[in-house]
Amino acid sequence: MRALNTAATGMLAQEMNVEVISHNIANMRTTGYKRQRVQFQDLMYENLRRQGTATSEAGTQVPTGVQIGSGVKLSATPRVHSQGTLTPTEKTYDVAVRGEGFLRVTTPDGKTAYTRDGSLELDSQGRLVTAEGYLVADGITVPQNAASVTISQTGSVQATLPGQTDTQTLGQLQLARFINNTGLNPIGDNLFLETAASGPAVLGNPQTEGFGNVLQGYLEEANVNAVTDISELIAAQRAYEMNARVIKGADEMMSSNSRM
Amino acid sequence: MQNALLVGLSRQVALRRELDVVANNVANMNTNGYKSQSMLFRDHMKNPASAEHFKKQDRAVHFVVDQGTLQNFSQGPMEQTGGTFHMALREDDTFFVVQNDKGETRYTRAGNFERNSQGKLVTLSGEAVQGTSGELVFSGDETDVAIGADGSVTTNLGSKGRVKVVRFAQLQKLENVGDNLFIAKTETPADAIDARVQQGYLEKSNVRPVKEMSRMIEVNRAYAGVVSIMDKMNEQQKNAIDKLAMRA
Repeated sequence: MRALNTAATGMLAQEMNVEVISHNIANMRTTGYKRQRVQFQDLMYENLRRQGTATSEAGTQVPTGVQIGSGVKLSATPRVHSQGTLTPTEKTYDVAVRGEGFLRVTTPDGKTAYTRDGSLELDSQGRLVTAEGYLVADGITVPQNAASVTISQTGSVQATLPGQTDTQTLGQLQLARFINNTGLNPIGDNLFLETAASGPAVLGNPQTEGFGNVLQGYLEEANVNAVTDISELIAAQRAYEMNARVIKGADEMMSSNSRM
Repeated sequence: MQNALLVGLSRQVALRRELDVVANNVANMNTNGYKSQSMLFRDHMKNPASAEHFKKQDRAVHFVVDQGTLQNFSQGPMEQTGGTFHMALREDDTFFVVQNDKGETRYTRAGNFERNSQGKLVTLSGEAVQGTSGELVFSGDETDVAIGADGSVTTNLGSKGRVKVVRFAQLQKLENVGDNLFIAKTETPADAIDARVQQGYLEKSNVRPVKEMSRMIEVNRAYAGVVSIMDKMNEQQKNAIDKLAMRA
């Protein structure tokens, strides 16, 4: 009985839906987290009676055929790269990107990863690193005696050094942009890797054409909207139950046959 | 006597098909742009050639045959997603036009499009979304994509043309091919110039869960009813054989 299998694909799809929603809710307070959406597609159809086939020599045709579908599949879990809320933290090395663009991070294995999480710190040598201790790819080192480090909206990192009246530029934060953000590969730790689907990274300074600006002393919150996700969870749960009911229905039909 | 069993069997087969359709609808409750289906039955008279050999009462036997799956093309609810490339169509009979890698044209109501690595606007299964002048391709420098109600696409670098939207006169002739796509084999679409496109929205599945559940219960009960009739016929036959055998 096909209905059993069809309903099973429905249950499986809703199960994955709940998994994605729970991941979103779990990351509600993760800095720079971008929520995922679940997208479904219907499976193949079996044509038991094809529309348009001739029903007589006079040229009459079947107006509507018999098409029986075989269920649903999970087609993608694209990320929604909308802006998260910016919260002030008043920490010197916290930066948030407002608008398009990712910060670049060098992972220990030498790859370049991309992140929206700008909770940066200094390591023992004064280098700018992420919360995981990975180096920020722009290679900015803050001297030990530097005072009042400022990061401008255009990404230029400046500091006042003792004995000098002018501020010194320590480096420039660059942002990376992708033609297809949703094609990035998430590797955890709030990091993404470039893939064939995302296209190559386009680098640029903040606040130039197509790039957002950098705000010092702010962090970007997750763009998870609790209300949306909870209501989606309820919908997924109900859909799961209904698919289970269909399985029960198909089972009842089969058992009434076997009782004959 | 045997006819009753066979008529019952034809109904059972049809009811199983109907449950298959209900199951597919329920499975696709959360599929964007999915259109619910329902079963259409007709009665099928016994072959008239052999009708001469039967008495009149026996002749009027009607079997059940599944005639078609009727698709309900009514508008599904709109969900606001805020996605730049998410589009929903406001009219029931309009469709987006997409082309697969073999150059074949397909139609869809699911407007959850994305850009691929070449900047081309594609569906989630990779079919290229068609504009009025070919595929819609965005370069890396293009931002602030806005899609107007008439389907016109503009970016910071100017106009990109319009998203192609077509209309079918006879929607029932569209065939499902999965992946939220339809194929038109016998029907040619007309350009829908007055179609309204809504950016940042997706059309959800138009399956009504309550309706599907009640339809399932109906199918279940009908099936049980047929089974009990067949059971009774069986019993009757058995009785007849027993009684006639005793006489002899």
